[in-house]
Amino acid sequence: MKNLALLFLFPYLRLSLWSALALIWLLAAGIYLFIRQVALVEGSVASIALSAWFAHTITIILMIIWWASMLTEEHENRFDQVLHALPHSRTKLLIVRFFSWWAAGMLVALFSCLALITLQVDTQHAWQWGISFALELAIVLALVLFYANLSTQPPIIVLTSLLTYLFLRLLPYMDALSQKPLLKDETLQQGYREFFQGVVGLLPNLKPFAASDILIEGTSWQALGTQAFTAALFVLFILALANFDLNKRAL
Amino acid sequence: MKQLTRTQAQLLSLGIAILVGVLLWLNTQTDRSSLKQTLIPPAPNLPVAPFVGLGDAYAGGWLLTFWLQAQDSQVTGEVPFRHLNYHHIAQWLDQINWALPEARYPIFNAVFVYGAIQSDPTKAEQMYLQARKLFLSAPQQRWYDYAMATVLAHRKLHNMPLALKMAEDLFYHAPKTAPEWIRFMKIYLLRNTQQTTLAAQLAREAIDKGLIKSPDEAELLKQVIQQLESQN
Repeated sequence: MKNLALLFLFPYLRLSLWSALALIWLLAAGIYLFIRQVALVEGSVASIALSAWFAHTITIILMIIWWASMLTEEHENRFDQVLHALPHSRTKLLIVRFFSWWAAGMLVALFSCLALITLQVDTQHAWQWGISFALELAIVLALVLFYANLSTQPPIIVLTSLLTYLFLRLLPYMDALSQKPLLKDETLQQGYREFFQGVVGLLPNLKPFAASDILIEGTSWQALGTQAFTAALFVLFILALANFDLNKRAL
Repeated sequence: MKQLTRTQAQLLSLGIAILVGVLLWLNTQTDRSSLKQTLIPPAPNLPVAPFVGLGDAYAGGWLLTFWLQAQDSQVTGEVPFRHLNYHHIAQWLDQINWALPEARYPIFNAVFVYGAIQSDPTKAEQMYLQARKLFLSAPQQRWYDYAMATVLAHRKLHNMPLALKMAEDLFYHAPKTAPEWIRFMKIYLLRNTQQTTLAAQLAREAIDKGLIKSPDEAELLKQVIQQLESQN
């Protein structure tokens, strides 16, 4: 148990997490002050929403890089071999690692909420946005863990995770576009349409996660519950795949 | 000095590769000062804001606004408005309007930024017509800017038919929360252009049909009718 607790706390001892957090919030504060100063957008809500979007995007990118680098460094230092020598199953180690790293993501989401509340965003909207952001980070972390099992090259893990994340995020729009006549060839157009119809039914829709709309207008707790359910299902599925691959892989 | 691990070295290489790629792309951008009409590319027929905002249409709308405003570089005077392609600007304003259907900036930009061009009245008129389109898509949020635009169409653009058309839009579509004189701007415009008979007729109709709810506005309009009739 002590080993698992240490494994959980391990990432928080690293300076990279705290420096990444500080960098995100310095950037977000700078962007917010710049937008407000030059009145690039109308009203304070739009300025806050846009700064939150910047912070959210930068956070996702930095967290993917951070998680991917932690995983590959563990492999490089042969720390994963030490871990697997412990009297715990690989599944248990994967779950502890997931929750440990997701807690770092939740910490970022919590700081985001507090910053937004300080900027006088509606408290309920800020919390809803923060919860949605934390759920989105869980999906992204599951993707990183999955790709880290397929490759030990950090650039590949970072790029594949980022591209999959972007694909999921843009999926509803791509699906909407597939309804329009984009391709000249009718067969290709039909194939494109059917592909997206199938994919949209299978994959989670990341579009409403941590969207500016939540910050501005809020959302219902029921909608947030649906997001949580979708995220939980997707994370379980991806972690099951990652675990299956991890158990098969010889270290 | 601490040696980089393989992971750090690989991630650093990725970062440098992306940076070099961006710098090379920026370098391929044509010198703006030599451009004429082709400066702003045409907007695609499909909404691009969600893609720009990485799935967040609202943020994408504002980013498109920044990008559009950065195209003219008015601060440095690098690219005068007459060199901008106004057809393309109208297309991009439509794109922004799609992402920000209730924002005032698209109409503000159309009238007070691009519509302020003095060297080409055709381009200015095009922007006022764009403002008309934007107003009709969200009159509740944009009546104020549209009312200002109507005054400018009359006073600055000296395009009376356009100003009257805009005043009519305000009459039919301005929300009830807007001041009543906004909805009856056509009367004041006609008065200013010496079409006093028509102005008086419209004012009387508005009072007789009970369209004016505020007693102060009704009193003001009665004074206007008296004034107009004395002129006739």
